[in-house]
Amino acid sequence: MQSVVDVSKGRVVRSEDGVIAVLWDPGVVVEVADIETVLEAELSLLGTDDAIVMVDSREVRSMTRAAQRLTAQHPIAERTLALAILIAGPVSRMLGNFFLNVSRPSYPTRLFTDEELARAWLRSHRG
Amino acid sequence: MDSPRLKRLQEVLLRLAAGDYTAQIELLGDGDDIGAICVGVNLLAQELDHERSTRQRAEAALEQARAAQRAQEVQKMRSLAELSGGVAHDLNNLLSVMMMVSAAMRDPDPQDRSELLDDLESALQRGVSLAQQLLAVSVDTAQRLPVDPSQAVSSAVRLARRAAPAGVTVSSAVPLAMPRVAADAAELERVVLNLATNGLEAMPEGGRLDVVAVCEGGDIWVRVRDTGTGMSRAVLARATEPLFTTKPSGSGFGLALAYTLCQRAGGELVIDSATGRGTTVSLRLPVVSQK
Repeated sequence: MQSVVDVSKGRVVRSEDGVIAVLWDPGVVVEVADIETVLEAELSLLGTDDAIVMVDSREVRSMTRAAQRLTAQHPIAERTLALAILIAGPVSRMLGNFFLNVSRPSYPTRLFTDEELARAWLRSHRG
Repeated sequence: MDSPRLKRLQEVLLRLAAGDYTAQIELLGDGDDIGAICVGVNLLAQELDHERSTRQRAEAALEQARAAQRAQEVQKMRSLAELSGGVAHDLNNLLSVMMMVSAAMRDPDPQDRSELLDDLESALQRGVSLAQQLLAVSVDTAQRLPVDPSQAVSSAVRLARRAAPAGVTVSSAVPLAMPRVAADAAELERVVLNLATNGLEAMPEGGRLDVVAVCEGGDIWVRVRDTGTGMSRAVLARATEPLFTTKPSGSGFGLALAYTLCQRAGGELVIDSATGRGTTVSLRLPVVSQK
């Protein structure tokens, strides 16, 4: 059974395997306010659990630096066990590499082109 | 070939190279390689802009801290200047007394040679005390042991009487013994002498200087009253400010020192003055123990 929260530029879904998926709508530019709503949605879906998160950025048009920093530095980071970022083309790869190398999240983070591999990797981090 | 985007990319890169980190590339087109480069350049520009803003805030905070430190140093220098002025003022008073005594000693028929020598010795002792206070400038070293103020006030009156110019009558009413107050005896004598000297200088045409010490309730009141020129409201409002003076050769410390002495003793300084009506300066010093 899935739990879904709609946000302004996409959806946040918690699936049965415990993975929280952030699914951005195609062509969006992600800004701080968007991250704030996504993180609130994540918190509401988490309850008291720790988070394993997958962000589908394959069709994101861009993301601001401030949005990336908030993702890495929000208090929810302390409850995040691992983050998988789905990429598909040059833009999402660029965004993912910036996030990894500039924002430097404190939790394990990897870029994936395959959703199932990403989910498997996330599940391996679940306690 | 994607000439519009490449042209725009080149423009933005040139702006970044010139230090304009607010430059951003409009996201024209799809998520291809050039689009990715545009996204990367935008993020890089935002990062540089953020770093520069952070550095500027840090520099501003540092400059603010430096300014505060400079202000503190200026205040220290001002305090030092105030202290120097106060010391010079006191020294001047002591030297005036010594000159008066010296002049009187030349008189072939001095009224009381022994008393003159006592006054000279007293002035010298105060000079030594002043020097010791200067050495201990960094801390408040005044000895505020309970002291009978009558002796200090009497001694100041005696010195003021010797310094009084012709045409000025000096009278005093000071008990032989009084309840004790928390003040340094030498400091109290210096303050009363300063007040008396101010009074004398306010009467260039002559007049009357009265020094009275009384015990009222739980306080000792030392009042120095002159019939001189008095102070205007504006001058009265600033009278206890260090360095404020209306006299060409004044240090602006007489009343400031009196104010400080009263504060340290837990008392107060009251000045009653008006132009043409003379001035009365009253020191209120709480009694700390009965003799």
